[in-house]
Formats: sequence, C-alpha cells, structure tokens
Amino acid sequence: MANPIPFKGTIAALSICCSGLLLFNWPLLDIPSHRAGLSTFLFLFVVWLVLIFLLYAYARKESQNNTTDDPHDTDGT
Amino acid sequence: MNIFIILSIIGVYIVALFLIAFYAGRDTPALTRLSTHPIVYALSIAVYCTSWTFYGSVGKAATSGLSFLPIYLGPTLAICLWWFLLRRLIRIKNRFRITSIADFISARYEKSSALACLVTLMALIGTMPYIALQFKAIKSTFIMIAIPETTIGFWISAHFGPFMVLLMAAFTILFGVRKLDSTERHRGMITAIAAESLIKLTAFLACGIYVTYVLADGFSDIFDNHFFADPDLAAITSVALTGSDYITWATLLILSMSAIMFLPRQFHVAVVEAPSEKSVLTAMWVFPLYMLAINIFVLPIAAYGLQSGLSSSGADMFMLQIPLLHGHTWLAFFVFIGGFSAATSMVMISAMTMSTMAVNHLLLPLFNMSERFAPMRQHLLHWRWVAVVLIISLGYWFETQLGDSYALVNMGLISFAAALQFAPATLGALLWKAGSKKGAMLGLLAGFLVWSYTLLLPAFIKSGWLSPSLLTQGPWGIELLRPEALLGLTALPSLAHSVFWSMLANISAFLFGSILLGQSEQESRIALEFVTIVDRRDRPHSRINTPADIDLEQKRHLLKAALLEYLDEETSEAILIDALMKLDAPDREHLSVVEFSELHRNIETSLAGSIGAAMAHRVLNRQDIFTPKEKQHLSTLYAELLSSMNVSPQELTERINFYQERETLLTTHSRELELRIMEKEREIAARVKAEQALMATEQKYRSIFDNALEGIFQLSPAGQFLMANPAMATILGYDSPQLLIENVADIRQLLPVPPKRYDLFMKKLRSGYLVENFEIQAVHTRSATIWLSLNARPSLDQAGQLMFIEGIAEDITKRKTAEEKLQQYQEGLEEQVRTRTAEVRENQVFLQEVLDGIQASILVVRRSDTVILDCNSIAEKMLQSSRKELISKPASALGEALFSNTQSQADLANETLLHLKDGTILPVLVNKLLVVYKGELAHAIIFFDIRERKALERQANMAQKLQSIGQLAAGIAHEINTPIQYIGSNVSFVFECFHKLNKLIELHGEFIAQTQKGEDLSPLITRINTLTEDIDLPFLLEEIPQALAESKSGVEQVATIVKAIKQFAHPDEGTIHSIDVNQALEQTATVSRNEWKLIADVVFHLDKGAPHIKGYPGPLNQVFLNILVNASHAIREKNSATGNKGIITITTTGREDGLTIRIEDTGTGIAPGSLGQIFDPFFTTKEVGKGTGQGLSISYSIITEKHHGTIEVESELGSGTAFIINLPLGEE
Repeated sequence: MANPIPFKGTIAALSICCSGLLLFNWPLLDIPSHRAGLSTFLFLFVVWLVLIFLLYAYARKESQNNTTDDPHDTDGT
Repeated sequence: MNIFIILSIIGVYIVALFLIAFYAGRDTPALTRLSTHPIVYALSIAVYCTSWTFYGSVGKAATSGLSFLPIYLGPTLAICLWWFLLRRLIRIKNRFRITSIADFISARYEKSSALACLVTLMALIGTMPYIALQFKAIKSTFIMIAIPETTIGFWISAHFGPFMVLLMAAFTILFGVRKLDSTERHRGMITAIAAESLIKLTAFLACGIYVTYVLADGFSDIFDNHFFADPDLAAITSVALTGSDYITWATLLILSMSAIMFLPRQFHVAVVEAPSEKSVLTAMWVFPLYMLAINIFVLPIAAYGLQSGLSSSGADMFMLQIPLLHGHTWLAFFVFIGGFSAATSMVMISAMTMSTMAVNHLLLPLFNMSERFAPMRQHLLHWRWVAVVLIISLGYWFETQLGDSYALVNMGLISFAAALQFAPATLGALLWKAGSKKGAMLGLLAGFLVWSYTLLLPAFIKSGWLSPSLLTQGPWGIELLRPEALLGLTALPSLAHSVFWSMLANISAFLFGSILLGQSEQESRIALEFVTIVDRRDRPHSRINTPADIDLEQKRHLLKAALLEYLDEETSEAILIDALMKLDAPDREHLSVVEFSELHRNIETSLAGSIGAAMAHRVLNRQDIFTPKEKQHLSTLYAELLSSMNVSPQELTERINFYQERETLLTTHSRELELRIMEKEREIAARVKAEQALMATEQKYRSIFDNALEGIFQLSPAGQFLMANPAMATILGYDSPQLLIENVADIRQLLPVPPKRYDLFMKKLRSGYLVENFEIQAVHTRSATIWLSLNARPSLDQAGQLMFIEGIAEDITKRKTAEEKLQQYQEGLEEQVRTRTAEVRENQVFLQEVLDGIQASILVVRRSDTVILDCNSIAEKMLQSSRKELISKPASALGEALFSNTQSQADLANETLLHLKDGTILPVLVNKLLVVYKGELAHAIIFFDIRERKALERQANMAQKLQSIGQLAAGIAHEINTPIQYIGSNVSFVFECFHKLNKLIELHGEFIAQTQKGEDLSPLITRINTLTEDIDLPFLLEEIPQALAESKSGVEQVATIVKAIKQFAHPDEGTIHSIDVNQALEQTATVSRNEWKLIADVVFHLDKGAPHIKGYPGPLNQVFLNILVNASHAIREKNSATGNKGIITITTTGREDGLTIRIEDTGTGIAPGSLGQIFDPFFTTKEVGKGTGQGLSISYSIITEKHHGTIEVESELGSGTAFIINLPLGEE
C-alpha cells in the first residue's frame, strides 16, 4: 500500500513536473528533432498525453487521501 | 456573410450567455452544484486561451513551426505543482479574504498599500494592451466574415467595436461587479466563461476536423511525401535546431508556467473563484487535456493553409480563410464565434479583476489622502463600474491608436513577462518565511524597471515611437546600456534577454532586501501564517480570563462608523453581526479587551474582502477604536504574560518562533500520524473484510459439502468411513452420515465378495496415485446392487504411509443401466445397419446393371475444378480409357465441347462431338446434372453414343429429300416433256423439209451440170419449177427458221430446268458456300413450277441489293421448296372448288447482318391450335398419306441449327400463311 504522507505527494508532483521540463527541453527534445516527418510533433503530444494521465492518477490518489477541505472556506459552496 | 445575419446570431449568442450567467448565479441547489462543479472551474481557467492563442497558434505554427506549443506546455508543467501551490493560495485567500494578486502580495508583506499599488500599476500596464489585442482580433475577424451590403451595414461594421465595448462592460458589471465583496464567487460569470471556453474548443476542433478529414484525407494526406519534399513546409513540423531557438523555447516555457498562475485574470479564476480546494485536483488534468485538444489540429491547419497557397503573413486568419475559400461560410462563422468567445471572456475577466485592483489599490488610497474625498468612499461599487467601463474603453482606444504596431502584436508575450515579475514575491510569500515587504518591493521595482527597459521600451522603439538609435547605440551612446544587449549580453534572443535580466534583478533584490533589511514583527507573524497555512489547524482559543469591561455598544458604533465610510448600512451591520457570531457573543453587552481584539481582527478580515487587506488594515487601525487605556490594558496583559513566563521579550519572540516551528512540526507529525492511523484503520478494515470473506467461503464450502449431490467421503486405510456427507449416506442407503460411519466398520462389507476391484483401488492409492472415475459395484442397504464411480486421492504422511483417503462418489447405477440398454440398442442398430448395407449393396448392383444396360456413359466431375471423380464401365469403353486413367484427370482433356459450362446447374440434351483416342469422332448426346457426390458439388455428365441416331436422321433427311425430288420428278418430267415434244415435231418437220429441199438442190445440181455441158435446160427447169411448187418452197423458207427458233427455245427451257434441278439438288451438302438467296428462291420456284403454275401465280419482290449469305445451298433450297409446295397445296385446297388462282408472294429484304425472306400464300391458313406444332416432327395437317410431317421439322432444323437463323409463321385461317425466315450473314 502506498504511503499517503503528503510529502510523498509533493515529491510525486515535483517528479512529474521535472520529467516534463526535462522532456520538453534541450537536449532530449533535440533527439526527435533530427528525425524526418512528424516525429517531434508526435513526441511532444505523446509526452503531453502521458503527463496528463500521470496528473489524472496523481489527482485521484490525492483526492482519496484528502477527505477534508479548507476549514476557512466560508462561501458556503 | 450578411452583416445582419451575423449580428443577429451574435445577439442570440450573447443573450444565451446572459441567460447562462443569470441562471448559474441563482442560489438553487442544482444550479449551485452546476456552477461550482470542478469541470466548470477547470473550463473557466481556459480563459487563458485568448484570441491571441486561438488565432495566433496557427499563425505561429505557419511561420515558426512547433514554437507555438510552449505556451501550452508550460502551464501543463506548472499545473503539476498546483496541489502544492494553488491549494495554499486558495486557503490563504479564504483565510484573509484576498481579492486579487495585488491584494495577496500586499496582505503577505505587512499589508502594504504601496506594494499593492505597485503590483496594480504593473498589472494595468501589462493588461491594457492585451485587452486591445482582443479587440483587434474581434474587429479584424468581423471585417473578414461580415459583408456589409447597405449603408446601415457599413455604419454597423464601422461601429462594431464601440458596440462590443458597451456590451462587454454591461455583462461584466451585471455578473462580475454586482457586489462590493470581491471575494464572493461570481458563479454566473464563471459559468458563462466556462461555456465560452467550451464553444471556442468546439469551434477549433470543428475547423480542425473539417480541414484534416474533409478537405484532406487525414494527417497522412496533409503530411505526405510531397509535403516533406518542400523544406519550407517541412520546417513547420519541427522545433528549429539552433541554440537560440531552444533558449526561446525554454523562455516561453518559463513565461507560460508563470502566466497560468500570476496573470491577474488567471489568479482571479484559479484562486479567487475556486469553489473548493479539491476542485484543483480535477482542474489539474481537465485543463491540460483542454489545451491538448485545442492544439491537436493547429499544425494540420497551418500546413494545409500553406499548401493551399495562402500567405504565411496572414496565417493568423487561416482558420477563417480556409473555410471561406471552400465556400463553407457557416463553419467560418462558427470559428469566428469561437474567437469571439476567447476574446470576450478574456476582456470581461480582466476588466473585472483590474477594476477591483484599480479601485482598491489606486483609487482608495487617493480618497484616503484627504477627508474631502470621504463621500467618494461610500460609492466604491459605482467606482468599480466606472473602472470596468474605463478599462474596456481604454483597451478599445489602444486598439484604435496602436493598430498593427509591433508593441501591440507582441503584447501577449510582453504581458507574460510582466506577470513573471510577480513570481518571486508570490512564491516567496508562500514558501519563504523570511521574505519581507522591503525585499518584495525592491524585487518588484527592480524587475518591473528592467522589464520595462529591456522589453517594453524596445517594443515602443520597434513600433516607431522612439528613436531606433536607443536600440543600436544605447542611451547617451553608452553601448553597455543597449536595451536588448544590456551590459553587452548579446548571446540571448530579446525575450530571453529581458527575462534573464529582469528575473536576475527581481530575485536578487528580493533576496537581498529581505535578508539585509529584515521584517517587522507583524510581518513575521503573517509570514509564518502564510507559509504554514496548509499545516496549520484551527484550535479552540484558550481564553485569558480578563474582566469584560468594554462597552460593546459603544465599540459597535465606532466599528460601524469605520465600516460605513466604505460600505452601506446593511453590509456594515452584516459584517458586525457575523464577527460577533464568530466570537459567540451576539447578545453580550460587554467584552474583555482580548475578546474585543479578536472581534476587531474578524471585522478587518471581512472588510478586506471589499477594499483589500492593506486598506482594511489601515482603516481599522487608523480609527480611534482602541482607547489608550485599552491599548495599555492589552500591553499590560502581554507584559504580565511575559513576566509570568519569566522571559525577556526577545526570549519570548524566540520561544514563540520556537513553539510556532515546533507546532508546525507537531502538526505535520500529527497529520502523518493521522494518516498512518487512517492507513492502519484501512488495513484493519481490509483484514476484517478478509476474515468475513473467509467465513463466507467456509460457509459456502460447508453448504456445498452438505448439499452436494455427489457423495463426499473420507476413509481410513482400513476402510472405515471417517467422514461422509449426507449424499454419501443416501447413496449407500443410510439415513444420515452418522449412521453410515457407525454401521460400516469396513467398506468392504458393502462390496461384492471377493472385492478384487477394491483391492486394485486401494493398491493405486497406497502407491500415491490419484484414482479417477473408478467404477465399482456396491451393495445398498436394501440389498440392491448399485454402481459407484469413485474419484479419490490419498493423503500420505511424511514417511509416505497412507493416512486417509478423500474422495467423491457418484451413484452411476442409472447410467450403467442406460449404458447396458444402449449397448443392446447399439447391437440391434448394428444388425439393422448390416441389413441395410446389404440392401444398399444390392441396390447398387441393380443400379449398376441398369446403368450399364442403358448404355449411358456417366462421368462425375467436380464442379470447382472439373476433375473427374468417378465413371462407369460404359464410359470407360466409350472413351477408350480405363477407370484409373480417367479418375483425377481434368474433364476438359476429354473435349472442351463436352465439358464446357460445367458451372451451370443442369444442361440437358446437348449434342456434341467427342474426339476419341483412335481419332474417331463420336457424336454424343450430353446431359449434365448438378449432384452432390461424397459431400462435394459435382456434375453427373451422362452421355450417349448417338451414331446410330445420327445415321437414321441422315437417312430420314435423304428420304425427305428424295420424297421432294420424287414429288418434283413428275412435274419436272412434264416441264421437260412439253418442249421436248415440240422440239421433236419441229425436228421432224425440218427433217422433211430438208428431204424436199435436198431434192430441189439435187435438181439444181443437175441444172448446173447441164448448163456446163450446154445441154437443154428446159425440161430440167420445168422439173425444178414443178418441184418448187410441189414442196411449196416459200412456205418452207418461212417455217423452217420458226421451227428451229422454237426448238432452240425449247432446248433452252429444258436447259434452265436442268440447271435448276442441278442447283436445287446441290450435291455438296457438307460445305459452306456463298449463297445468292434471290437466285436460290427463283430456281426453287422454277423447279417446283409444275406444282403451282396452274394454281397460283408466284410474285417476286426481291431486294437486289440483299447480301449473299454463307450457308448450305442444298438444305436451304429444300426449305424453300417445302414452303412453296406447302403454299401451293394450301391454295389448291382453298380454290379447288372455284378453280381460281392464288398468289404466292416471295419477298426478300436485306439487312446489315443478314436478310429476311417472307413467303406468303393466299391458301387455307393454319388453325391457331396447330400453329405451335407445325415444326414438330411428324406433325401434319394434310390428309393421311399426303404428308409425312417431316418437311417443316427438317426445315426448322436446317434454319436454326445449320444456319443459326430463325423461322416463324404467321397465319390466319382462311386467309393464308406467311413464313418469315431470318438468316444471318453466316461465317465460313
């Protein structure tokens, strides 16, 4: 069972962010750029889609771990 | 598209948005659920995608390839950290009633009005041109799509901008600035923005799908080899490969990462309008998915536009141009509505946000500067409305003034870079306790100045508003101060250059300012609260017991007076009551100084929601709300606390810090412990669930054991039942398992003696083998023998000794009985099969004999590949091949004619020729039948040797021909006889004349001789004269030539008849000749003349140009003869009484592909009932003995089979008959 400690959640979020930064920048982005055709386009969109899926998984996990909301929210919504 | 139609639809669309905003803002539970749904929240964040991105992405893609993407990839990366960052912002916003990003920064840094003012100014400078950009998009796209056809149309087109300004201002005021408290969520406005986001996405996707899948045939069609062969086109599918491009790429990523959070409008929708913290989790994946969807077709649209020859300089408008180019005006209009939505949503949200910021942080400080402005303070809401109108109008004015200037076109990224300046102060506020007001102020100022100098100033210069020498030479000629190469840094592109220097200045100033200049105590307290906002928990306040000596009524007046300076009576009263409720003191008359301090704080927080934290702080601390005595009391209280703790103020601060940190740690620890407890509870719950599942399983198996239909048992090695289920007991005849166990000490007592099979059963088990389906007989308690099927497995101890046996027993007595019956039945069945087989065999022999007897050859040929599968002995003989040679041989090898068309279902009575091995040609009659042979579709080909039949046919033909000739013979003889007779008479006459003339010639000879001798000639002359008179010489000389001429005519007549006969009876029947049908008809008429000459006249209407045909002359003449003879017979029959002559009309008509012969008589005609039979063999309408019934049958065969023509008959009883023969040209 995964450890639901918030710190780990932050690490996971940071990892996703850093992976994205790494993949969306030089030098990794340079690899598909040297291939012909739509390789860069496909690379960017596939990585993007994977990031979204990871964010979805992360959001689900955090949603299960955090059952309470902000106690100061007084807007009544 | 007509301008009025466009305006009408825009009107409907705006009304729809008004309705959405109106209903979504209502307080019914269902509408509240909808408007606060996380998806609506996520879609409202999509206000990020403005018209700049809606149209500009395609433009950017067409000119710079994939460099449009970082604007969307950056937010996706920033969103990864939202649960960590945005959640804190939302919690702080709720706690401190934050209204905007300026308010947030101000609240964190000692509620500084100056800081809020600075942030507001920066935001205004960055936002106003951005609003102008949206107006530019609306105007330019409207002009492209709307065609004004009338003067009013032109007027509307020219004034569309102001009209939009009014509309957007009204919408923003109605749904965004209706109340003073800016922290209240504007559910209606946000739902309308979400709806607009959905519209712009749908419009973009519609255009993308249209271009990619309607105009082109998918991605592969647009990006084909031809596309990549053009380097200019191929470039748009990649990121440029130079280093500076990657720097720009990374810069755009950074800018967009900050823009998604720190652009004022984004801060507003993401933080101020957040319905709950958990909504962030949904937005974290929905919004990136939205951005991905809106970008998926950018590249295909750009590529298609370029391929279509559209100019890349106008690529921003490809989305409209492409549908318009292909006549899809409505799609173009839908795209326009998408862009319109993108622009209006941005303008309205920005106006709403900026109006709050401008009024709270620019206008209110001005009003507070002098008491003369005091009345103004009470109309804050109206001032916000004015601000909304001003901001939108100013944006529109900018658009009209700046137009296509460089500064405006590039304003999107310039705004992003301005928003980036808020990042250090904002992130520092959240994460760094030591960040101070002075640091933030210095950082923001430095960043703002550098941003203005390195990015805004060059934009102005490039727009032509300032001297270009500033860019090239720097101010005062100092090159090191060149705006785009500050301090000589030329390695970076201009945008990256500005971001680098402004961030360096901003962060450095913020760090150094905070560290070196420090922070106040109040600031320190707020900083701690901000940094630990997520970990901090509200706990019950431990009240300090101090006397309640403050008159609440008096203080209420003071507080209310302060509130009334900015708020109306009702709102002020509501805030007071709310604060007292929180204090749990609505009905009290007196409060302690500590309670009053808490009340004061609650009211300040509430007021901050309307006028901002900084101003609320200033307002409530400026008033003389705390009397000096109360302040003294509070100070004394704190001093007493301090002295009771026996620590100095410095130590107290340190301790407080220590305990605050400790509290934070403990809070974190307690959170961890709580989570671990939750985890343990989950584990325990899972364990309990597992135990329950185990019990349920055990119960299930117990139920299966008890209720199983098979007997389940456990036996000791000695054969004693250790355990048995009810079914086992029932099988063996016991009422309960207990009775079975007690009464059966050894299972062998239930088995037949000797129990040999049981010994075998045990032997296998002792050897450790499983026993399956072991059938054994046992004795039931009712002494009946039953059959059991046992499945058992041994349970061995470690030494391999048998401990017990577990197994299942099934009563198979019924099955065994059934098997025995089945066995008997099978035996009976086999006997029946044997009998039937013998019968079949006999039938086969009989059939074979019959088949052999009828002398038919039979081949069975597979339908699919015409391979011979079987044959009979007659076929072997006929085909002169053995069965072995024939089987598996392709049937076509025996003759194409015979086996052609084997795919047809049935083909009966075809005659064909078979070439045999010895060279003989065998005529056969073939019948083909579709049959199933050994499970395969096949043809049974049955063929008969028809040599004898053919010979008989030939004989019949000959006989018919002879009959015709015989029939003609008398006529022909008569025809020849007549000329012969008068030829004979004439010859006799000439012969006699010759004798007479000879005598006269002899006398003349004597006359000549006597003359020569000179004798007397008188007697001789007398004799000559006498003889001349006697023979009547003149008569002779007249008649002889006539007789000879008649004879000659007679001879010619005979010769004609003979020739006709010769032609008619053409001896060469077997070869094809060119036939002149007209001549053939004439000759046939000649030959048969005797048949008709007394009965009818033959009239010819012959087409002299009719073509000759290829055919058999003899048979064809026979046909004509048959018809002519039949015609004459019919006329004779009709006219026998009157003796009148009939008419036989022979007509020929030539055609391109042959000719038609019509032989028509005026005879008796044929009865309708007989018409269908006249071509049948042996059918005749003549009297017995007069017709054989073969003539027309053979004629039919000659015309249809030999000449491939047709013969038809038309007849009317009493009027006559016509035979119509159609003959093709024929082939050699």
